[in-house]
Amino acid sequence: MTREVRNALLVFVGAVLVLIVADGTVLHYVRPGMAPLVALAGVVVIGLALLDVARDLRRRPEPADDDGHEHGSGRSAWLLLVPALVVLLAAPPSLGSDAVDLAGSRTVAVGRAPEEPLPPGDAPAIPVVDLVARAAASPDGGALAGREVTLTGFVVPARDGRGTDLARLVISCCAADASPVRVHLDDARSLVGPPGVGGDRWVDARVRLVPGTATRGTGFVPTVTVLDAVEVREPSPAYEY
Amino acid sequence: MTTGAVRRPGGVEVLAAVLVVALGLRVLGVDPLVTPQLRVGATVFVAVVVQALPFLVLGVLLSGVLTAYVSPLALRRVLPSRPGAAVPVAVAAGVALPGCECASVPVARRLIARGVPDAVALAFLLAAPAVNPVVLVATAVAFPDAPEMVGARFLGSFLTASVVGWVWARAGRAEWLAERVRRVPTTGDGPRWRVAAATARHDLVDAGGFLVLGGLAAAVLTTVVPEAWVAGLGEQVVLAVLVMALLAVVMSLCSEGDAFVAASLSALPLLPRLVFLVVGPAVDLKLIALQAGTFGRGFAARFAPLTFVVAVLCGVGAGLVVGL
Repeated sequence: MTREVRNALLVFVGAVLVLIVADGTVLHYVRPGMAPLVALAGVVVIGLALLDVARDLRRRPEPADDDGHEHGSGRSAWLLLVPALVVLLAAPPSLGSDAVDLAGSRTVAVGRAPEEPLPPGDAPAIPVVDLVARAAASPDGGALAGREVTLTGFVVPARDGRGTDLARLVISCCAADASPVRVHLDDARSLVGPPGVGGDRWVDARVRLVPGTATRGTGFVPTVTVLDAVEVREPSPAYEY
Repeated sequence: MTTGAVRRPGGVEVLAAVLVVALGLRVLGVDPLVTPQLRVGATVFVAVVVQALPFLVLGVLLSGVLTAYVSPLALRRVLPSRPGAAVPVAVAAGVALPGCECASVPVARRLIARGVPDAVALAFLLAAPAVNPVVLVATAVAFPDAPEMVGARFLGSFLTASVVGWVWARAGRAEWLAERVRRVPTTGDGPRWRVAAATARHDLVDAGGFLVLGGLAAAVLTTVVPEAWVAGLGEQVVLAVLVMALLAVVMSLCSEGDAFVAASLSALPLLPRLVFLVVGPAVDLKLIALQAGTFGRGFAARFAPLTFVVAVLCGVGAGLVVGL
């Protein structure tokens, strides 16, 4: 690989990094806190390449600055094109029910329950993982007792095949460590509807926790009674953190 | 491209052709992600690479600065002269540098180029991603009910880095590392910042492609294999330790996020999950690919198995000491 090609490649890869931050695609892959770092990395990569280009423009190229073993290990640099092209061509979506299926029995470990009270208002929106943590911490869900809340998630079949769950993926670093979190829906009037076909169905569901359902026996998957539901677009970011 | 020879398409033409084809497919609206595995795999692949690239860029910038501004003499003054004594110092230096495993590979390479003994640089390579404060805090947050995991992880990773360093100091051979590792870029004339930029660019291109390879392998194997391995391991601790160690290698998680995945595998006892946390930052597919690209394939073929065995033993040992 010649230096010209290498520099063009680096500018291209750097530009893709900046681009996915600019249009928000980066949130499909990493948590929002990483986004500025990804953009910065893109700028640095472009800058490193342009420094070399600038030098070429000012004077005739001299022996490669990189001790001349451009062949051999240099060829692997072509691989940098692969993720850039995958992003441009396929724009891999946020993980959804496919990943929930693949995760099998693995669910988010419920850590310490949030101690702060629920947000004020009628049926405040809270993260699914927040509801699960509160429900697992005390039978009546502490602050959830008697309250209605709004959950956003996608519809998946329940693990035992009976009925449906509302699920969300929680990531801590990047999408590679996504773990599913789910609540079982007690939905007598079928307000939520079936899981999506050929794409996830996202809903905002107004629910009330059924006390005492998030136990070891249920794998800490609480049951909620659905009071109302509307179909919504996939939120961005699609993950909880 | 010399005149007179038959003109073969050069790199620029190939690059341009690839981009035009890609753009054409995009315009035609071809969606190549047709199965659930492909969709998940593609997202995981891009996620691993996008997550790791900023850290790799940080690493190559550090390695550039190291090459341009830190003289071999200064390094020799800081480190004890005997490798055996310098290994723990390097491990401790790793504790203070919160970095991702991708950042420490190019830095370790340039440490070696600056005359730091191989074993010492490799101990730093293993320590920096594994035992820094960010990782330990993340572990504490992921295991609120088992605070002993933090100490156990620290102990296990510290021991792993030190033991591998000592083993390499005794048994390692200089020729196992690719000869290019010791060569210093011959920028010579320019100002120091230009040397730093050239080194950084060089290391980025060298390592970047291999990072992609590692991410690809991790995505494929993560999508195809693991959940079935873990299901039903429950009480078979020995088997669980081995499976979790292999899983750590396959999944190639970043050391700041792996604790949450370990926590989510709540059906398993703590000991195998600790081994997962000790093995992951020391040896995984992404790292093996990076190391093969940076230090040579002969090196990776020896270093990866050594690290794996030592990490499993140290992880189990630390777990038993702490009483998991």
